[in-house]
Amino acid sequence: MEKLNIHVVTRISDLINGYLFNHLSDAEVDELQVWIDASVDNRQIFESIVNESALSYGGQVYASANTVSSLTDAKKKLGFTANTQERKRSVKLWMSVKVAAAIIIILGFGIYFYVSSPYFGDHLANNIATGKNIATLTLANGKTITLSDAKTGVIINASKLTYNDGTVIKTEDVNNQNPQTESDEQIIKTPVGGTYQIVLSDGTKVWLNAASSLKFTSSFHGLVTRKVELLGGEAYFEVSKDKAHPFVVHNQGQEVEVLGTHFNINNYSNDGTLRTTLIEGSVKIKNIASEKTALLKPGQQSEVKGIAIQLTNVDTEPVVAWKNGDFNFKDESIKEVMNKLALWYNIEVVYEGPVSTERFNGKISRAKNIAEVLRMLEGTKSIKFKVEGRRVTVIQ
Amino acid sequence: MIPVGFENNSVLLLEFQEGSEQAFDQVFTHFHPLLCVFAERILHDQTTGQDIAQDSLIKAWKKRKDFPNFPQLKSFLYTCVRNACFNELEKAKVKTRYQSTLEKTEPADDYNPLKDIIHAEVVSRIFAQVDTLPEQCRKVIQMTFVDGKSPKEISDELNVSVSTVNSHKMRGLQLLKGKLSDRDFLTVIVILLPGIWNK
Repeated sequence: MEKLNIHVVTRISDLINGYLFNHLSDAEVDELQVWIDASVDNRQIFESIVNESALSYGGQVYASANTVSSLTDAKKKLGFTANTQERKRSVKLWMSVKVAAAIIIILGFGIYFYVSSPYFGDHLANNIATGKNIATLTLANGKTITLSDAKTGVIINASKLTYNDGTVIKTEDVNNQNPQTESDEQIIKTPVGGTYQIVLSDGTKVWLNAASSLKFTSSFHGLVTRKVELLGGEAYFEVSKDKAHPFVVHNQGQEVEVLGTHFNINNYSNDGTLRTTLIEGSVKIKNIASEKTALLKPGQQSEVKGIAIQLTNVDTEPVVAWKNGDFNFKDESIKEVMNKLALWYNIEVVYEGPVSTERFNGKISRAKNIAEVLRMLEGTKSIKFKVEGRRVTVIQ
Repeated sequence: MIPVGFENNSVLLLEFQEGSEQAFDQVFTHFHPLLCVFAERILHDQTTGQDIAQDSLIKAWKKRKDFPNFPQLKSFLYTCVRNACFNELEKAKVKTRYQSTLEKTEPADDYNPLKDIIHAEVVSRIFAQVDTLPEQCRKVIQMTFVDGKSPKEISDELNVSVSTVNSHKMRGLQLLKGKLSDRDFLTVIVILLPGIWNK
C-alpha cells in the first residue's frame, strides 16, 4: 500500500470518469492514453473499469451501502447526538442513487460504443490511408505528369489535356514544341491505393483500378481500329459506339475486340489468368497463344489462361463494384478479400496460423477507413486481425 | 474538463479537523459508499464491507488532526479497509480450514489494490455527476428511466408540456454523455452493418 500514489489514483479516476462522460479535453485524452499505454496492467485496469456490467455492479454496491444508517450508527459510537439534517439528506441521496443507477445502465451503451470506437484500446486502430484518386500520365516524350488527387478523371484530346471538370492540365513544353501526332502513345498508371478515370479521344471512358496501367494513343484519328493496351491491373471500359472502327483492348495473352459496350478486364491474377466480364453489348475474346476466340454475352465472364478460354455466368455487380467506389465480396476466400484490401490500402498482409476456409460476402464503401472493413470481417466471428503499422495480420 | 471535486475543499477539511459534526457527516457520506465498493471488491461480501468502511471512518475521525489534506486521509482509509478486509479473509480461512483443506487462499502479499481503488473511485464519480444535473433534468430522467413513465405522464405530473419533457430528457442525456461525435456515429453504423453479411 505504501507504493500506492493516491494522487495518481485520483487523477486517473478523474480522467476515466471524464472519459465515460465525454468531458475530456484533447490534452486530457492524451494524458489518459499515455497512462493506458504505460503498462499492460494499466490497460487491463482501464478495460476492466469501463466494463459495463462491472460498473453497474459497483453502482449497486455503492447504492446499497446503507450510508445513512451507518452514519447514524457511527455517530452514536462516537458520542454525537443524532441531528435531524440526515433525513433530508437521506431522501436526496436515495434519489441520486436511483438516478445514478439508471444512468449507469444508460451509460452502458455509451461505454460500449466508446470502447469499440477507434480510440482507446482498439486493436484495429491504424494510420493506414484510404486509397484515393491518383495517377500519373506519361507522355510520348517521356515527361510524366502527376494527375491531381482533387480530380477524378482526365480527358484526352489531341490538342489538349483537361480534367473531367474542364480544368486544363498544363503541359506547355510538350504541347507547344512537339505537337501531338496520331501515333503519340501515352500511358496512364495508377499506384497501389490509387484509382483514376480517363476519357479517350473517341469518348470511350476507362476506369482504372489500383496498380493498373493503360497505354493508348492521344488520338484515334485515321486509324482503322481504336487500339489500347492494358499493361496490368484492372480496368472497366465503356466503349463509345463506332461500328466502322472496332475498339481493341490488347493484354498480355488476349485481345478483346468490341464495337460499343461495357466490360471489365481483370489482370491481377498471379497465375496470369485474365478475366473479362461483359456488362452490356458484345465482345470477342481472342486467346493470342492459341488463336482461339469466343463471343461473350452480357453477364458472362471469360477466363483466358494458357491456351484456353473458359466462359462462366457471373453476378456482374461484385465484379464492377470497385468502379462504383465499393468493395463487394461475393463468396470470396479470405485471400481474395485481403488481396483487394492490399491493393486499395497499400498494406502488407500476413497470415498467422491456418488460413480460414470461410467464404466471405458483403459490401462496404472503399472510402471507409480499413479498420471499419476489418471490423466488418471480424463481425463474421470467423477471423481476427492485428494491425501494426502497414502490416495486417490475419488470425484465424 | 474535469470539475474540481469534494476532495479539494480545504475549508471542509479544516472544519473536519476542528471536530465539526457537519463536516464529519459530509466526509462520512462522501467516503462511506466508496469504501464499501472497494471492500466488496476484496471480500465479495457487502454487509461486512459496510461495517469495515464505517470502522475505518471512525478511526479516521479519532485521528483527524493527522491529515494535512484529503489525499492523505483517503490513503489512510483505503489502507485501513484493505487491512481489515484481509483480516476478515484470514478469519474466514481459519473457520473454513476444518471444512475444506482445498480452500483457496488470497495472495495478500501480491495484492495490488490499484484496480479496485480506481473502480470504486470511478463509481463514486458517476454518482457525483448526477448531482451536477439541473433539478428538472434529473427528475425527468428519473421518471423516465427509473419509474418507467411515459412523456405524457411526466408532463402531467410536472405540469409542463411533452416537448419540454423530451427536451429535458435529451439535454440530461447529452449533459451526461456529451454529444456523440461523427466518429461514434460511424461506429454505431459499423456495429449495425454486420447484419448485411448474409452467409
